[in-house]
Amino acid sequence: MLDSMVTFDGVTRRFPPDVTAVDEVTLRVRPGDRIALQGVSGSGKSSLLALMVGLDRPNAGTIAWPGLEKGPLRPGQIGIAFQSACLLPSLNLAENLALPWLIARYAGDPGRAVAEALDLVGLGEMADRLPSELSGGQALRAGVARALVTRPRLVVADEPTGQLDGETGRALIGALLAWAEANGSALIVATHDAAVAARMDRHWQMSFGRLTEVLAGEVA
Amino acid sequence: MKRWIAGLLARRMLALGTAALGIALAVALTATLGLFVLDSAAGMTARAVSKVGPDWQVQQQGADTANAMAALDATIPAHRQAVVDFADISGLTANVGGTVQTTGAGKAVGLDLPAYAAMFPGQIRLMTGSLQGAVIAQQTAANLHAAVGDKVAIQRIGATPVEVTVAGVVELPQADQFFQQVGGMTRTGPSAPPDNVVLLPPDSFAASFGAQLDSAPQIAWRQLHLAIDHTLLPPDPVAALTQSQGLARHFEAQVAGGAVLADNLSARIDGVRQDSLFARVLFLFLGLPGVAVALLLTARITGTGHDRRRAELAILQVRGMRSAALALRMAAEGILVAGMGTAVGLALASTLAKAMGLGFGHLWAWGLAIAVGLGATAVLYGLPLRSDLARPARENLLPAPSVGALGQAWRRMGLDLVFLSIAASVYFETTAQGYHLVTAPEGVPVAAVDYKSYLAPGMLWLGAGLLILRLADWGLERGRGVVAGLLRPVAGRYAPLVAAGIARDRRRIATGILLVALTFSFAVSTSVFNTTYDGQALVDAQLTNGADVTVTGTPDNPAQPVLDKVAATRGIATAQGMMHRYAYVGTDLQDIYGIDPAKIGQVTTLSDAYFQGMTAKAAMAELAAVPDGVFVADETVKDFQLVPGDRINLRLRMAGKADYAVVPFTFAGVVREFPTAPTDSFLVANATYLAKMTGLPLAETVLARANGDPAVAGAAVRAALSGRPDLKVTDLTETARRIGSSLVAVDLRGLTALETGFAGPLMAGALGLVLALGHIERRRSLAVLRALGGGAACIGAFLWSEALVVLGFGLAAGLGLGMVLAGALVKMITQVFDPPPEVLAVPWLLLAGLGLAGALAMVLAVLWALRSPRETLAFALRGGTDG
Repeated sequence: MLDSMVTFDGVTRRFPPDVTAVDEVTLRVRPGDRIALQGVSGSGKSSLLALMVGLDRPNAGTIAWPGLEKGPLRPGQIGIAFQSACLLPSLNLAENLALPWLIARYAGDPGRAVAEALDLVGLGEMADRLPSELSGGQALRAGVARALVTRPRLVVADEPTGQLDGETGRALIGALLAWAEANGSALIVATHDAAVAARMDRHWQMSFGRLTEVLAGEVA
Repeated sequence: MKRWIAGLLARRMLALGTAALGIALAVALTATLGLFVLDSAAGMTARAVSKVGPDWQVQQQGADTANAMAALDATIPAHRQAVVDFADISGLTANVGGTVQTTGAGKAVGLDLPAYAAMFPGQIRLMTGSLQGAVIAQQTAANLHAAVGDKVAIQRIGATPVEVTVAGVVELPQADQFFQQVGGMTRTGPSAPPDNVVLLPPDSFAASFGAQLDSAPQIAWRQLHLAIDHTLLPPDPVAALTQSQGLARHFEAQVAGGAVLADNLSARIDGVRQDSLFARVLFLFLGLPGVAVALLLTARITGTGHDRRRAELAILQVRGMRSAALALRMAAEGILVAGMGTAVGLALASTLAKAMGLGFGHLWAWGLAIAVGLGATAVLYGLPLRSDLARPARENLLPAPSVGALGQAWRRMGLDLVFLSIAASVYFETTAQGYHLVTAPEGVPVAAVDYKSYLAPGMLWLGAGLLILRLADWGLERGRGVVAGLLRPVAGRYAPLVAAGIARDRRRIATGILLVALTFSFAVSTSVFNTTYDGQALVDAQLTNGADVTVTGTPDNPAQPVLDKVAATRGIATAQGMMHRYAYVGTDLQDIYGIDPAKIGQVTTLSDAYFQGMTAKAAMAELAAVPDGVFVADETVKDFQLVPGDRINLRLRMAGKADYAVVPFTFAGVVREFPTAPTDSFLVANATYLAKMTGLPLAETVLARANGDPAVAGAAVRAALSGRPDLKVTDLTETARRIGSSLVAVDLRGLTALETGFAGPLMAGALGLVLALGHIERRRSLAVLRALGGGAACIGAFLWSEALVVLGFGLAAGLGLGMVLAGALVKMITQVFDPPPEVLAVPWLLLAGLGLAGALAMVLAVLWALRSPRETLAFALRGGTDG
């Protein structure tokens, strides 16, 4: 357990009236993991990720983050790239990306980290643009860059390539994997894209709230 | 359709409720202000006719009394009448205490005094003795040194004197009207009544003057004094005047020259007709902005739900619903809001009207309020719906068409500056020429308000509103660094980002600032105007009465001996003597006031407007520095070509001498008004110099400042001086009621309470609503911040900052606009102020309270937005959209 970053033990999340989005899931995320989370729409992927990043609480079971340092879970320890870009419309890209840095109370000017993150997703020249001035794909990439600014130990991306063309999607996943490798961070990507999933080390399959068809040895 | 309405009520009640509340406020404000104005007008008529005394004074021309009586009965069946006979006399003589006192010419009056006093209450006030027998007026008693039981000889013209015994001393409060010359134009203003009056029982008068009455109409004449049933008159002053003048003309036609008429009733109603128009002006000047603000708030609410309604419309269009059914369904929301808002507004108005004791019978006010409620909802819901119905479904699914091009056209055209220029030019044109906002030609039953002058405040309101939008827009963008610096205590490390966000969201925030500014300006302009108006009413009354309590004597009976007694009376803080005598300036006899310039300010208020070219303080300092100095009227300065330092020789009455003697003075300055002074020319000098030069050291008048209610202090002084009927005691409250000018005719305390009562909820509602709607529109952004890990400090930085920007800039702009509006209103209706106010009176405590109400609404709105619903987080993760 000591080398675990996140553990789920029999975690269940139900929504009224009788929807069980996550059903008695037990899992472990270790440092440096590259995990693909797959499943059809409505299978419970986003609900699982919400529980994992601390945005939601389970009805039953236990979630722990033993491998993460003390301090705020988000955005210092876990970076999140949402299903849609979720950028603040009244802030430009640089300001949107600076937000996690300020929320995590990091010292110094976030300018360099912001520039590096934007360069990584190929938006280095668009720091002054407003979200309304970006295409859907550019906005998604900006959302991914925002998840990396604080150099978190775990990055969770919910369908980051869903609205990207194949080449851009592949480039983005490549950049994410390279970044995770360089920073020693774990990466969990929810995706419908088999090609994206194929680039991950481990594969989780969600179906009707249950985490199934995972590689042997990953579920205790 | 029923299910549609049930669904709206079940799922959209909050949106419907808030919109209906906005409509309700506009309806209630319109109705209550309308009721107030109409009730004030009716009250003015009632008050005017209640203190009218005899409504008509009919003077016979010839001896045909029966004809006049018949004409009266035919014209006004419901009336009571008293016969009053008058005779000119050459004087009165009394032998009192071994000395003979003789007066100048006067009048003898024959009437049934007890019956007359009962028929016209307040017209005859018994000072001492009884009404049974010969009675003399208070001034006459003072002139003759006569008291009850003394014998007085009446010097008849062309006949031997007759002697009567004084049974009582009375005051005739409306002597000017009682002794007016009947025939020709009747005036409400005073005409000089005789100083020497003796009132005799009818038989006594007949014995002394019967022959003259029959044969010498130029010496003795008969009048009929009528009390008309006032319930015959409509409540509106203009309608009442038309009716009363119609009755008078009808009577004159009936008697065909057999009598002439003094129509006191019409004269009094004529006097308040102008007041009623001012009440209407105040309603429009002060009430309309409040109604407009309530409707702007409602527009902001209904605008928020427009996209949702368009989406619903698109779905129904796609499903192929026929246009009539579609229109009906989509109009249902507006109809519900109109119904609920108007009903709640009328109920609120009824409650307020009942609480304020207003009459309910003014259908105009109710009709106008209903029209405002239904008309506003028709515009706010109907116009957008008409456009939406004309569009295909696919367009209605897109966000609402931007009004940017149209909405921003005014910036390029500089419409704000155009409106402000028009306001300034109309304002300066109308105020520079001493115009009259309200004109009510005396004696003519027509009155007019110069509605063109409404352009000035109207254009100022519009222009300033647009200018606030422009300045807020400009300042939030260009002053981003300054805003960040100002917000750092609240936003901390987020300040630059918050300022950047505010700068880019400035159009929405500027709209919020505008709404708060307009709401606060409504509160500021009404309260500042009303406070100034109330204060000026007091100054007006104080100018007339002289001080809180005034004891008036005569040169022969000065009030100075009772100074210490007055000063020691309970309720009196301090008292000072003031000489009131007469002086000849050339051949012109003028009032002269002798004062102690160092102390006069302790007992009365001297306004800077009283003096020309210097402040009141400087004028008193000048008088103190020049012992023989005298302030004179502007007219006198022009007549005698005076320059400061010139010597003026006045002729004054000296001690122990009947003739006037020359006393030299030095011209010290020009005085326009002075406590108790008449409106024509008068003089003000040092009391010590007057005393020294005339040998008459005693002041005729005592001015006293009360340390509480002037009416209570006045009553205490009256009681203390009950043994001195020759001295007249008046107080500020009584004077304010008596002068009955435009200033006090409208009870602005009620109007102030009403308007500030609405301004508070409007202020809180505007701020709370602006912020809450802003938060609703940006709920996704707030959820994203929360999902990123932003806690209360981060989200609070954005929320509190925006709220403070809206509140701070809104209050500052509202205060400025409100003060300018109040100043313009005071200047524009300066016609009712005498003297005009020097500065605006600002009720800071009230305004601070309203600001606090706004701040409280802001705190509640931010705390509400800071709560953390889990569905909002899921909404953000799944990519929901703002709006």
